Amino acid sequence: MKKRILCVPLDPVHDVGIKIIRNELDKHGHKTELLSPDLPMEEIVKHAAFGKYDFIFVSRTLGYGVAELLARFNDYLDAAGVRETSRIVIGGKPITPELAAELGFDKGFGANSTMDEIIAYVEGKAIESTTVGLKREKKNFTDKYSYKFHNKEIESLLSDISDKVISWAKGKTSDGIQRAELRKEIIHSKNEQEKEKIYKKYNAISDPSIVDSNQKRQYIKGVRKVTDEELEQLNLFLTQNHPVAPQKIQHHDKHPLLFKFLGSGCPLLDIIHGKICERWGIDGFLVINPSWEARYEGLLDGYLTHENDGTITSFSNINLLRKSLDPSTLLTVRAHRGLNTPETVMLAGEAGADMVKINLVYGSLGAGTDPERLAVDGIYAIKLAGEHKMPFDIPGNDELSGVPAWKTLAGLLINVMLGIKLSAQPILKPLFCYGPHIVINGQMKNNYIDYNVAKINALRQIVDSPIWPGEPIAFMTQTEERVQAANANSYHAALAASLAVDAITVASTDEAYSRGPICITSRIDTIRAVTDAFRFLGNADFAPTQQAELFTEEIITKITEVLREVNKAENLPQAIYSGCLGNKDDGAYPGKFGKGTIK
Amino acid sequence: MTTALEKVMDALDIETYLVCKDANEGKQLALQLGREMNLGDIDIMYEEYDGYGMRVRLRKYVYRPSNHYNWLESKNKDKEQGQ
Amino acid sequence: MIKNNLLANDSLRIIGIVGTAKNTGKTTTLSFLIQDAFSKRYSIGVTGIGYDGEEIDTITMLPKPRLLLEKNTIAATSEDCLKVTTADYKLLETTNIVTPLGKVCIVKIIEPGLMVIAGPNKKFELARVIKKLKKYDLDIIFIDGSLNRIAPLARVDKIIFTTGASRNTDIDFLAKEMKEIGLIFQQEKTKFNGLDQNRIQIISEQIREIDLVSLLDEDDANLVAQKCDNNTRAFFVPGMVSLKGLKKFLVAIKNKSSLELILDSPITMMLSGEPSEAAAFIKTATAHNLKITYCYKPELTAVTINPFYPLERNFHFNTAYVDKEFLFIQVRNALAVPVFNIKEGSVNLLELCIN
Repeated sequence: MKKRILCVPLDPVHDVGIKIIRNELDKHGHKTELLSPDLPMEEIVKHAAFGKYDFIFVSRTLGYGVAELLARFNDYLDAAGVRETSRIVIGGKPITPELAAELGFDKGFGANSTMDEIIAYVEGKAIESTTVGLKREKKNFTDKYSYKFHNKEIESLLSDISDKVISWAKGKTSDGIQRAELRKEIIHSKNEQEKEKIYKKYNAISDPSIVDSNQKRQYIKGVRKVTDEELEQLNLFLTQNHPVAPQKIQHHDKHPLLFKFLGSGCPLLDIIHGKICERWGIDGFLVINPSWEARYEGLLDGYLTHENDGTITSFSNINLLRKSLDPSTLLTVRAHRGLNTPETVMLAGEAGADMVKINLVYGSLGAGTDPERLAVDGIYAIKLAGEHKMPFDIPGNDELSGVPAWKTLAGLLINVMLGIKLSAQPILKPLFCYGPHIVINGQMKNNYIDYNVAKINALRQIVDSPIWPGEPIAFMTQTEERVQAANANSYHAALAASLAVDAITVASTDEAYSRGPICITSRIDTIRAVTDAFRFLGNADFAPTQQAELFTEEIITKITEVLREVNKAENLPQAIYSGCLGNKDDGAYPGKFGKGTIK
Repeated sequence: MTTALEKVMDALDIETYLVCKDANEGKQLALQLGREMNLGDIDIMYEEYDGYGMRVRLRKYVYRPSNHYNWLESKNKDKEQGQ
Repeated sequence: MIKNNLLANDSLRIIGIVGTAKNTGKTTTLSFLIQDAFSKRYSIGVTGIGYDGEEIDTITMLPKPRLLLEKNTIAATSEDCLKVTTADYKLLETTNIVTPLGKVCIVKIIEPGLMVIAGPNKKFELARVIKKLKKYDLDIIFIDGSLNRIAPLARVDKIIFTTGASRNTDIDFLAKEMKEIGLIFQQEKTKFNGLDQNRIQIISEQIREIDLVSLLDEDDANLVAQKCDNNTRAFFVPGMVSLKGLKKFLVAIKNKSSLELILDSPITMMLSGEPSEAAAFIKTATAHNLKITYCYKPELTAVTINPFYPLERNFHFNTAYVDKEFLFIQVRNALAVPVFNIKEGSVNLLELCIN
């Protein structure tokens, strides 16, 4: 049934909203008329009475005396008998149902109202509450890539390097790998006695501090158990609160997914931050663990909270995060640092995480783990990720210690080839950053665009793989100043959108501030900033200068040179020791945790 | 009675401009502002003196990770009373 | 429900309370009347035009009293308001009248508590709700007006106006304005009966009709005046009138002797423009032998005053007061009806409403 609708802009300035609504109503086949703004009240009333409209839509911003004016407008229409035939509707940003009722309207549409609701109201259809709760599908961004190499020399170098390290690692194992197997048994064991037996084996190959924590509740400093009461409170909080009018960050299909870190130390706070970020449109999270986890053999058990940076990678914690976040939200767990890489991948897979973060090279060069140990553990972990159908993301954060981009990218590519050979789905994560090597060598002297573009283009000319710049983007361009930090993130995000990469990781506007945890408003800040940047850019692109092409060529040439060097070594760990993927001068040192623990 | 400050999820940022004669005075004023607002010790996240005054971003953590969050607890109490 | 039959002639009284502005003490006056009526064992019904009685005034963000409803009170309010009431109630009826806060429901209070009253917000729907409330054998129905919205109150028996510093801090202005409102309400009820409420009528030897409801501008005025002849005694305008239309009309009928302009109610005159202009027009019309009368005539029963006003300073509203004694004296002197400061005892306000 087509409706007759009179649109009345009572506001001489802000009549855009009502014009948009009118346009939509027209598209739905309704018959609308738009009055010119600034008409005297009598004239509007006369028009309204004469036209016998089904609806009269009024738009007005609020201000001093406006409430009285609007109430009076309804009085006029009532006195003139118009209200017996027409429903009077007000629209405007500050309009709430209470205010609409107070001013005497039949209906009010405010800042959170959708066009669907307005149309449903006009057409008399039941209005579904479409504005509460996330309604989205989980995204898959790895399936569309073939992992075919376009650069044959690099492909063959990587293949040789990978084959050598895989065959070197064959038959080797570590306590980390054994614990992963035991962890799987613990998770699936339904018999307490049996579980105890497995734990005994687990404890025998774990660090005494971890055993004491798990057995005697003598926790490492700053760690405590989450109480049952707290868990109940969380549960109640999550049942009582739901996202209202959830937002979408991307404005165009080619815009990347947005990821954030979760790792406040407290799983409750992580979850609540996570839920709020979901409302603002975030697509996924990376769970970041405390740095000390890398140094101990073994992982803690149970629901645990931690006063300092990093949320403890226990099965219970990851499971709780997974269950509490929306099923559509992607979750990746950092696994590649330290002595628990296989076990972390195992429990992430068992807890339902979507991805894991593994980089054999960076994990040894920038994160302190012995290269041999991480090679053995990492190969196992990548295979495990593949078995669990979890893609693994390969962060290139060694660039932050001063390693030149091409060495870092060569490292990423080695992981890609390992992934292909071990039937897993790798994701390239080059940095979008102002890294130390770039600062010193001036590649970003003129702009921040060319060199970041060159990294992406170089990788794309080498292999068809998903690309997810991070980690986070805008690293070393952000300050503690809020607006600057939000802007730095949004510009880098816009560049990523222009390049149509698959995902990006963004920080918060308090990322550069190191004396306290990330707070929720700072998280929302950058999500809002990026949403706005995506809206601004839309389907348009950045135009890099010609220098970007020169950088791209240089990067590809140097990656090839690095890989030739790596291939000269006996195997990957030896190459890492020899410094060809980053050396002392670059600020990279082979890690020492777990040295001599290969069995 | 629950205070509004207890309902802050984690941290409270204050961004403002303090008129001062140098950066040192600006920092003193920033810390004093925190005390005057009954926030106790606050942290200066960012400050930049420009010759006329200082643009500041100040932060007070109401809760840090692993604390007991009153907003989570009072939620429970509200419900119990409502039942 | 057992009706107390306290009223002499056993008829229902419908009382409207109208604020000249927000914060003029409308809710306080209503609360006073409800408490007084409850203590005197009248059976009462309460509804409101739109939304009111909220904890925080949605515009000034100052706290406002909410209505305390006593046991056995019948209330008509919207669904959403029932979600937040502290009173225990029994749902008697869900009407199909819809407000932005949901359907209007009729409930009976079982245990006293605070309630937000948001009933129907237009004339014909208010009439339907009153009709439904009548089934519950009430002595008095109170109707809470909303932010100077008075059009739906055209059919009530009595009206109490609330005015005060929140309307204007100039006491002389307030006194003058109430005097003008008094003049508007003083005009007589017409003696003509059975007029068609759907179109303008010219009452001569025969009744002539015009396919118009309201008299809004010069075109309308001329159209009506043209139908006037030497036998014309009265005009009836059932809809709205504007001062612009009225003034043109007065010119167009050219001083014909002893004509009557029948309007729906004093509310119509109130809506034609500012009270000062409406009152001035009545005086001019009377001087030109045009008498203004009404089809329906709610009585202006009393005026309550409130010296409070929200003072805006540095974007915050603070409480402030004008001289309450002077306000009281000036308004009382300007009016023929009783005036009360509701905060200082208004013992016989309810009696005025029911007599």
